[in-house]
Amino acid sequence: MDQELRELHTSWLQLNDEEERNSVAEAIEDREGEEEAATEIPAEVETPVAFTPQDLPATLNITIPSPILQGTERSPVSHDVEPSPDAFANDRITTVSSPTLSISTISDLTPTEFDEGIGEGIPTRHETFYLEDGNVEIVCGQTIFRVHSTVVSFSSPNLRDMLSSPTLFNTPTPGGCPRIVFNDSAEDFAVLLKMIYTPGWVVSLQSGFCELTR
Amino acid sequence: MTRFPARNKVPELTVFASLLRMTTKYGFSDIREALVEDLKGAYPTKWEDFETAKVLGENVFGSPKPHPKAVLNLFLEQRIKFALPFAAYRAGLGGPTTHAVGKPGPVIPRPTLVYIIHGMGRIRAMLIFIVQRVAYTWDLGACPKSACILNVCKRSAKRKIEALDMISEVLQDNGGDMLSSLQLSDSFCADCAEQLKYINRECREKVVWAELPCLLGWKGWEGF
Repeated sequence: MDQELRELHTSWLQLNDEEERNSVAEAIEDREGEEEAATEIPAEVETPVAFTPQDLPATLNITIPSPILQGTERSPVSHDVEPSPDAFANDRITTVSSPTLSISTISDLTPTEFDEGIGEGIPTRHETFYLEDGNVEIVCGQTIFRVHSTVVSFSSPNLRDMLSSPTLFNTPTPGGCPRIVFNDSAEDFAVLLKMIYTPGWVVSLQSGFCELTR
Repeated sequence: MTRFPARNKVPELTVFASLLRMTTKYGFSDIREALVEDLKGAYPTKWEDFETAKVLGENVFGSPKPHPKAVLNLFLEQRIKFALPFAAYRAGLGGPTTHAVGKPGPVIPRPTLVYIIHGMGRIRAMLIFIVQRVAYTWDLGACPKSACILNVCKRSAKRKIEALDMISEVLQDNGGDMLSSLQLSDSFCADCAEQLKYINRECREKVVWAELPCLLGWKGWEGF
Protein backbone atom coordinates (compact mmCIF):
# COMPACT_ATOMS: atom_id res chain seq x y z
CA MET A 1 0.00 0.00 0.00
CA ASP A 2 2.87 2.35 0.80
CA GLN A 3 4.39 1.65 -2.56
CA GLU A 4 1.12 2.34 -4.35
CA LEU A 5 0.67 5.67 -2.57
CA ARG A 6 4.21 6.63 -3.36
CA GLU A 7 3.74 5.79 -7.03
CA LEU A 8 0.51 7.77 -7.18
CA HIS A 9 2.19 10.73 -5.58
CA THR A 10 5.04 10.52 -8.04
CA SER A 11 2.70 10.23 -10.97
CA TRP A 12 0.76 13.26 -9.82
CA LEU A 13 3.90 15.25 -9.60
CA GLN A 14 4.92 14.13 -13.09
CA LEU A 15 1.52 15.04 -14.47
CA ASN A 16 1.90 18.59 -13.30
CA ASP A 17 3.36 20.96 -15.71
CA GLU A 18 7.10 21.30 -15.18
CA GLU A 19 6.90 24.93 -16.15
CA GLU A 20 4.49 25.65 -13.33
CA ARG A 21 6.90 24.27 -10.77
CA ASN A 22 9.68 26.34 -12.28
CA SER A 23 7.56 29.46 -12.09
CA VAL A 24 6.93 28.75 -8.41
CA ALA A 25 10.66 28.51 -7.79
CA GLU A 26 11.28 31.76 -9.65
CA ALA A 27 8.53 33.52 -7.76
CA ILE A 28 9.97 32.29 -4.45
CA GLU A 29 13.27 33.91 -5.33
CA ASP A 30 11.54 37.13 -6.34
CA ARG A 31 9.63 37.24 -3.10
CA GLU A 32 12.71 36.57 -1.01
CA GLY A 33 14.20 39.76 -2.33
CA GLU A 34 11.02 41.74 -1.65
CA GLU A 35 10.62 40.39 1.86
CA GLU A 36 14.21 40.94 2.83
CA ALA A 37 13.91 44.55 1.79
CA ALA A 38 10.50 45.02 3.38
CA THR A 39 10.99 43.29 6.72
CA GLU A 40 14.50 44.40 7.52
CA ILE A 41 14.73 44.90 11.27
CA PRO A 42 17.44 47.18 12.56
CA ALA A 43 19.96 45.16 14.51
CA GLU A 44 20.56 47.93 16.97
CA VAL A 45 18.60 50.87 18.21
CA GLU A 46 20.21 54.13 17.44
CA THR A 47 21.30 56.06 20.46
CA PRO A 48 20.85 59.80 20.85
CA VAL A 49 23.67 61.94 19.70
CA ALA A 50 25.23 64.41 22.12
CA PHE A 51 23.29 67.63 21.91
CA THR A 52 24.63 71.14 21.99
CA PRO A 53 22.48 74.26 21.56
CA GLN A 54 24.53 75.53 18.63
CA ASP A 55 23.41 72.46 16.71
CA LEU A 56 19.91 73.89 16.59
CA PRO A 57 18.70 74.84 13.14
CA ALA A 58 17.69 78.40 12.49
CA THR A 59 14.00 77.51 12.70
CA LEU A 60 12.60 74.70 14.75
CA ASN A 61 9.63 72.75 13.56
CA ILE A 62 7.97 72.29 16.96
CA THR A 63 4.24 72.47 17.45
CA ILE A 64 2.97 73.08 20.96
CA PRO A 65 -0.82 72.67 21.08
CA SER A 66 -2.46 75.91 22.12
CA PRO A 67 -4.60 74.34 24.94
CA ILE A 68 -1.40 73.98 26.93
CA LEU A 69 -1.15 77.69 27.26
CA GLN A 70 -4.86 78.36 27.72
CA GLY A 71 -6.36 78.58 31.18
CA THR A 72 -3.04 78.66 32.90
CA GLU A 73 -1.60 81.50 34.86
CA ARG A 74 0.88 83.66 33.15
CA SER A 75 4.12 81.81 32.90
CA PRO A 76 7.42 82.84 31.47
CA VAL A 77 6.46 81.32 28.13
CA SER A 78 2.92 82.66 27.99
CA HIS A 79 2.80 85.15 25.17
CA ASP A 80 0.38 87.89 24.42
CA VAL A 81 0.73 87.08 20.77
CA GLU A 82 0.26 83.80 18.97
CA PRO A 83 3.28 81.68 19.89
CA SER A 84 5.49 80.90 16.98
CA PRO A 85 8.15 78.23 16.67
CA ASP A 86 10.80 80.93 16.79
CA ALA A 87 9.42 82.31 20.01
CA PHE A 88 9.67 78.92 21.63
CA ALA A 89 13.16 78.51 20.28
CA ASN A 90 14.14 81.64 22.15
CA ASP A 91 12.63 80.20 25.31
CA ARG A 92 15.09 77.35 25.28
CA ILE A 93 12.88 74.60 23.94
CA THR A 94 15.33 72.08 22.66
CA THR A 95 14.78 69.08 20.52
CA VAL A 96 17.16 66.52 19.16
CA SER A 97 15.79 64.06 16.68
CA SER A 98 17.18 60.89 15.28
CA PRO A 99 15.38 58.27 13.19
CA THR A 100 14.47 56.40 16.31
CA LEU A 101 14.49 58.83 19.18
CA SER A 102 14.16 62.47 20.02
CA ILE A 103 14.91 64.34 23.20
CA SER A 104 12.73 67.26 24.08
CA THR A 105 12.87 69.60 27.02
CA ILE A 106 10.76 72.64 27.67
CA SER A 107 12.69 74.53 30.21
CA ASP A 108 10.26 77.12 31.48
CA LEU A 109 7.01 75.16 31.72
CA THR A 110 6.08 73.63 35.04
CA PRO A 111 4.58 70.13 34.98
CA THR A 112 1.17 71.47 35.94
CA GLU A 113 1.22 74.02 33.21
CA PHE A 114 2.20 71.41 30.68
CA ASP A 115 -0.17 68.66 31.69
CA GLU A 116 -3.24 70.60 32.77
CA GLY A 117 -4.44 71.37 29.32
CA ILE A 118 -5.00 67.71 28.59
CA GLY A 119 -7.14 67.19 25.55
CA GLU A 120 -6.95 65.74 22.12
CA GLY A 121 -3.41 65.45 20.83
CA ILE A 122 -1.79 66.20 24.15
CA PRO A 123 0.18 63.48 25.92
CA THR A 124 -1.55 61.93 28.89
CA ARG A 125 -0.02 60.07 31.79
CA HIS A 126 -0.04 56.31 31.59
CA GLU A 127 -2.34 54.97 34.27
CA THR A 128 0.10 52.34 35.53
CA PHE A 129 3.57 53.43 34.58
CA TYR A 130 3.54 57.07 35.57
CA LEU A 131 5.48 56.47 38.74
CA GLU A 132 5.57 59.56 40.90
CA ASP A 133 9.03 58.78 42.25
CA GLY A 134 10.44 58.10 38.79
CA ASN A 135 13.22 60.33 37.51
CA VAL A 136 12.73 60.29 33.76
CA GLU A 137 9.70 60.77 31.55
CA ILE A 138 9.36 58.82 28.34
CA VAL A 139 6.81 59.91 25.77
CA CYS A 140 5.45 57.34 23.34
CA GLY A 141 2.83 58.72 21.01
CA GLN A 142 0.32 60.49 23.22
CA THR A 143 1.29 58.75 26.44
CA ILE A 144 3.80 59.80 29.08
CA PHE A 145 5.56 57.19 31.17
CA ARG A 146 7.54 58.18 34.24
CA VAL A 147 10.04 55.56 35.30
CA HIS A 148 13.27 55.03 37.18
CA SER A 149 16.20 55.45 34.84
CA THR A 150 18.38 53.10 36.91
CA VAL A 151 15.83 50.28 36.78
CA VAL A 152 15.18 50.68 33.07
CA SER A 153 18.87 51.13 32.23
CA PHE A 154 19.87 48.09 34.25
CA SER A 155 17.63 45.84 32.18
CA SER A 156 18.96 46.69 28.73
CA PRO A 157 22.19 48.12 27.33
CA ASN A 158 20.23 49.80 24.55
CA LEU A 159 18.02 51.62 27.01
CA ARG A 160 21.06 52.47 29.12
CA ASP A 161 22.69 54.16 26.14
CA MET A 162 19.53 56.11 25.44
CA LEU A 163 19.14 57.28 29.01
CA SER A 164 22.78 58.15 29.56
CA SER A 165 22.90 61.12 27.24
CA PRO A 166 24.94 63.78 29.08
CA THR A 167 22.56 66.61 28.23
CA LEU A 168 19.51 64.70 29.36
CA PHE A 169 19.87 65.24 33.09
CA ASN A 170 21.39 68.70 32.93
CA THR A 171 18.37 70.54 31.62
CA PRO A 172 15.37 71.57 33.76
CA THR A 173 12.20 69.98 32.45
CA PRO A 174 8.41 70.18 32.86
CA GLY A 175 8.01 67.32 35.30
CA GLY A 176 11.16 68.14 37.16
CA CYS A 177 12.83 65.31 35.30
CA PRO A 178 14.10 64.78 31.79
CA ARG A 179 11.64 63.93 29.08
CA ILE A 180 12.55 61.68 26.18
CA VAL A 181 10.43 60.93 23.15
CA PHE A 182 10.59 57.35 21.86
CA ASN A 183 9.09 56.31 18.57
CA ASP A 184 7.53 53.14 20.00
CA SER A 185 3.80 52.78 20.41
CA ALA A 186 2.47 53.33 23.93
CA GLU A 187 1.02 49.80 24.02
CA ASP A 188 4.35 48.23 23.10
CA PHE A 189 6.26 50.34 25.60
CA ALA A 190 3.80 49.58 28.40
CA VAL A 191 4.38 45.89 27.77
CA LEU A 192 8.14 46.46 27.90
CA LEU A 193 7.83 48.29 31.23
CA LYS A 194 5.58 45.56 32.61
CA MET A 195 8.25 43.07 31.64
CA ILE A 196 10.97 45.12 33.33
CA TYR A 197 9.10 45.97 36.52
CA THR A 198 7.44 42.57 37.02
CA PRO A 199 10.03 39.97 36.04
CA GLY A 200 7.76 37.08 37.03
CA TRP A 201 5.19 38.09 34.47
CA VAL A 202 7.05 36.76 31.41
CA VAL A 203 7.89 33.59 33.31
CA SER A 204 4.21 33.07 34.05
CA LEU A 205 3.37 33.61 30.39
CA GLN A 206 5.91 30.99 29.41
CA SER A 207 4.56 28.53 31.96
CA GLY A 208 1.09 29.16 30.49
CA PHE A 209 2.39 28.25 27.04
CA CYS A 210 4.02 25.13 28.45
CA GLU A 211 0.87 23.99 30.22
CA LEU A 212 -1.12 24.53 27.09
CA THR A 213 1.16 22.88 24.59
CA ARG A 214 2.99 20.12 26.47
CA MET B 1 -10.81 29.27 40.79
CA THR B 2 -10.47 29.56 37.03
CA ARG B 3 -11.68 26.77 34.87
CA PHE B 4 -8.89 26.92 32.31
CA PRO B 5 -5.85 28.23 34.18
CA ALA B 6 -3.37 27.64 31.37
CA ARG B 7 -5.58 29.41 28.84
CA ASN B 8 -5.82 32.42 31.13
CA LYS B 9 -2.07 32.66 31.55
CA VAL B 10 -1.01 32.78 27.92
CA PRO B 11 -0.74 36.26 26.40
CA GLU B 12 -3.13 37.53 23.80
CA LEU B 13 -1.60 38.17 20.40
CA THR B 14 -1.25 41.94 20.82
CA VAL B 15 0.73 41.51 24.03
CA PHE B 16 2.83 38.76 22.50
CA ALA B 17 3.52 40.98 19.48
CA SER B 18 4.56 43.85 21.74
CA LEU B 19 6.86 41.54 23.66
CA LEU B 20 8.51 40.34 20.47
CA ARG B 21 8.96 43.85 19.09
CA MET B 22 10.33 45.32 22.30
CA THR B 23 12.63 42.42 23.17
CA THR B 24 14.05 42.56 19.63
CA LYS B 25 14.51 46.30 19.64
CA TYR B 26 15.98 46.67 23.11
CA GLY B 27 18.19 43.61 23.13
CA PHE B 28 16.39 41.16 25.42
CA SER B 29 17.45 38.33 23.15
CA ASP B 30 17.18 35.56 25.76
CA ILE B 31 13.56 36.43 26.54
CA ARG B 32 12.73 36.69 22.86
CA GLU B 33 14.27 33.32 22.08
CA ALA B 34 12.38 31.71 24.95
CA LEU B 35 9.08 33.18 23.76
CA VAL B 36 9.67 32.04 20.20
CA GLU B 37 10.67 28.61 21.44
CA ASP B 38 7.34 28.35 23.24
CA LEU B 39 5.56 28.66 19.91
CA LYS B 40 7.06 25.46 18.59
CA GLY B 41 4.41 23.37 20.32
CA ALA B 42 1.65 25.05 18.34
CA TYR B 43 3.56 25.56 15.09
CA PRO B 44 5.30 22.21 14.59
CA THR B 45 7.77 21.59 11.81
CA LYS B 46 7.84 17.81 12.07
CA TRP B 47 5.00 15.42 11.39
CA GLU B 48 5.51 13.57 14.69
CA ASP B 49 5.16 16.85 16.62
CA PHE B 50 2.09 17.77 14.62
CA GLU B 51 0.40 14.46 15.38
CA THR B 52 1.00 14.79 19.11
CA ALA B 53 0.36 18.53 19.43
CA LYS B 54 -2.21 19.51 22.03
CA VAL B 55 -2.83 22.97 20.66
CA LEU B 56 -2.38 24.12 17.09
CA GLY B 57 -1.91 27.45 15.41
CA GLU B 58 -3.55 30.59 16.73
CA ASN B 59 -5.28 28.61 19.50
CA VAL B 60 -2.09 28.94 21.52
CA PHE B 61 -2.79 32.60 22.20
CA GLY B 62 -5.04 33.93 24.90
CA SER B 63 -8.52 35.29 24.49
CA PRO B 64 -9.69 36.91 22.26
CA LYS B 65 -8.56 34.27 19.80
CA PRO B 66 -6.62 36.05 17.05
CA HIS B 67 -7.28 35.74 13.36
CA PRO B 68 -4.82 33.35 11.65
CA LYS B 69 -3.97 36.09 9.19
CA ALA B 70 -2.96 38.43 12.04
CA VAL B 71 -0.68 35.72 13.40
CA LEU B 72 0.88 35.17 9.98
CA ASN B 73 1.50 38.89 9.60
CA LEU B 74 3.24 38.98 12.98
CA PHE B 75 5.46 36.03 12.05
CA LEU B 76 6.35 37.70 8.75
CA GLU B 77 7.14 40.96 10.52
CA GLN B 78 9.25 39.27 13.17
CA ARG B 79 10.76 36.74 10.76
CA ILE B 80 9.83 33.70 12.81
CA LYS B 81 10.80 31.38 10.02
CA PHE B 82 9.93 27.98 11.38
CA ALA B 83 6.30 28.95 12.02
CA LEU B 84 5.64 30.51 8.63
CA PRO B 85 4.52 27.47 6.57
CA PHE B 86 2.06 26.26 9.16
CA ALA B 87 0.81 29.78 9.88
CA ALA B 88 0.29 30.27 6.14
CA TYR B 89 -1.64 27.01 5.97
CA ARG B 90 -3.87 28.09 8.89
CA ALA B 91 -4.44 31.45 7.21
CA GLY B 92 -5.46 29.69 4.00
CA LEU B 93 -7.97 27.32 5.57
CA GLY B 94 -10.82 29.80 5.26
CA GLY B 95 -10.68 29.55 1.48
CA PRO B 96 -10.09 32.21 -1.19
CA THR B 97 -13.26 34.16 -0.43
CA THR B 98 -11.99 35.13 3.03
CA HIS B 99 -9.16 37.06 1.36
CA ALA B 100 -11.44 39.10 -0.88
CA VAL B 101 -10.97 42.85 -0.95
CA GLY B 102 -13.32 44.59 1.45
CA LYS B 103 -13.56 41.68 3.87
CA PRO B 104 -12.99 42.80 7.44
CA GLY B 105 -9.91 41.61 9.24
CA PRO B 106 -6.17 41.60 8.72
CA VAL B 107 -4.71 41.77 5.24
CA ILE B 108 -1.89 39.48 4.19
CA PRO B 109 0.88 40.96 1.99
CA ARG B 110 0.05 40.32 -1.64
CA PRO B 111 2.97 38.03 -2.61
CA THR B 112 2.27 35.77 0.35
CA LEU B 113 -1.46 35.81 -0.33
CA VAL B 114 -0.95 34.73 -3.93
CA TYR B 115 1.07 31.76 -2.75
CA ILE B 116 -1.49 30.80 -0.14
CA ILE B 117 -4.45 30.82 -2.53
CA HIS B 118 -2.51 29.10 -5.28
CA GLY B 119 -0.87 26.59 -2.94
CA MET B 120 -4.02 25.57 -1.12
CA GLY B 121 -5.69 24.92 -4.47
CA ARG B 122 -2.79 22.77 -5.61
CA ILE B 123 -2.70 20.78 -2.39
CA ARG B 124 -6.41 20.10 -2.72
CA ALA B 125 -6.03 19.09 -6.37
CA MET B 126 -3.20 16.74 -5.48
CA LEU B 127 -5.25 15.15 -2.75
CA ILE B 128 -8.28 14.69 -5.00
CA PHE B 129 -6.17 12.99 -7.63
CA ILE B 130 -4.59 10.54 -5.22
CA VAL B 131 -7.69 9.79 -3.20
CA GLN B 132 -9.83 9.10 -6.24
CA ARG B 133 -7.21 6.78 -7.70
CA VAL B 134 -6.91 4.94 -4.41
CA ALA B 135 -10.66 4.65 -3.93
CA TYR B 136 -11.28 3.28 -7.41
CA THR B 137 -8.18 1.10 -7.57
CA TRP B 138 -8.77 -0.61 -4.27
CA ASP B 139 -12.47 -1.08 -4.91
CA LEU B 140 -13.38 0.34 -1.57
CA GLY B 141 -17.06 0.35 -2.40
CA ALA B 142 -17.31 -3.43 -2.33
CA CYS B 143 -17.47 -4.31 1.32
CA PRO B 144 -19.02 -7.73 1.88
CA LYS B 145 -20.43 -6.87 5.30
CA SER B 146 -24.08 -6.03 5.20
CA ALA B 147 -23.89 -3.54 8.10
CA CYS B 148 -21.31 -1.43 6.31
CA ILE B 149 -22.36 1.59 4.31
CA LEU B 150 -19.91 0.49 1.64
CA ASN B 151 -21.70 -2.81 1.06
CA VAL B 152 -22.92 -1.95 -2.40
CA CYS B 153 -21.95 -5.12 -4.24
CA LYS B 154 -25.48 -6.11 -4.98
CA ARG B 155 -26.70 -2.62 -5.66
CA SER B 156 -26.68 -0.68 -8.86
CA ALA B 157 -23.54 0.66 -10.46
CA LYS B 158 -24.86 4.15 -9.81
CA ARG B 159 -25.01 3.51 -6.06
CA LYS B 160 -21.51 2.14 -6.16
CA ILE B 161 -20.19 5.27 -7.84
CA GLU B 162 -22.00 7.36 -5.25
CA ALA B 163 -20.32 5.38 -2.49
CA LEU B 164 -16.94 5.92 -4.09
CA ASP B 165 -17.59 9.63 -4.41
CA MET B 166 -18.51 9.71 -0.76
CA ILE B 167 -15.23 8.03 0.14
CA SER B 168 -13.34 10.52 -1.96
CA GLU B 169 -15.05 13.45 -0.35
CA VAL B 170 -14.52 12.10 3.14
CA LEU B 171 -10.85 11.60 2.48
CA GLN B 172 -9.99 14.68 0.51
CA ASP B 173 -11.93 17.35 2.35
CA ASN B 174 -12.08 16.43 5.97
CA GLY B 175 -14.03 19.39 7.29
CA GLY B 176 -11.93 21.73 5.15
CA ASP B 177 -8.74 20.92 7.04
CA MET B 178 -6.66 18.59 4.92
CA LEU B 179 -4.32 17.87 7.81
CA SER B 180 -6.90 16.89 10.40
CA SER B 181 -7.41 13.22 11.17
CA LEU B 182 -10.40 11.41 9.76
CA GLN B 183 -13.55 11.23 11.87
CA LEU B 184 -15.75 8.40 10.62
CA SER B 185 -19.29 7.62 11.61
CA ASP B 186 -20.43 4.18 12.85
CA SER B 187 -21.90 3.37 9.47
CA PHE B 188 -18.55 2.03 8.27
CA CYS B 189 -17.50 -1.45 9.33
CA ALA B 190 -14.30 -1.79 11.34
CA ASP B 191 -12.26 -3.02 8.39
CA CYS B 192 -13.37 -0.27 6.04
CA ALA B 193 -12.89 2.39 8.73
CA GLU B 194 -9.39 1.10 9.40
CA GLN B 195 -8.56 1.13 5.72
CA LEU B 196 -9.90 4.64 5.22
CA LYS B 197 -8.03 5.93 8.24
CA TYR B 198 -4.85 4.37 6.97
CA ILE B 199 -5.23 6.07 3.59
CA ASN B 200 -6.08 9.34 5.29
CA ARG B 201 -3.01 9.16 7.55
CA GLU B 202 -0.70 8.31 4.67
CA CYS B 203 -2.09 11.10 2.50
CA ARG B 204 -1.81 13.65 5.27
CA GLU B 205 1.75 12.76 6.14
CA LYS B 206 3.31 11.82 2.83
CA VAL B 207 1.39 14.09 0.52
CA VAL B 208 -0.06 17.13 2.27
CA TRP B 209 2.56 17.63 5.01
CA ALA B 210 5.47 16.85 2.71
CA GLU B 211 4.38 19.23 -0.05
CA LEU B 212 2.81 21.95 2.07
CA PRO B 213 5.74 24.35 2.58
CA CYS B 214 6.82 24.22 -1.05
CA LEU B 215 3.33 24.71 -2.42
CA LEU B 216 2.69 27.63 -0.09
CA GLY B 217 5.83 29.36 -1.28
CA TRP B 218 8.43 28.42 1.32
CA LYS B 219 11.58 26.45 0.74
CA GLY B 220 10.85 23.99 3.50
CA TRP B 221 9.58 23.67 7.02
CA GLU B 222 12.17 26.18 8.20
CA GLY B 223 10.47 28.97 6.26
CA PHE B 224 12.25 31.11 3.71
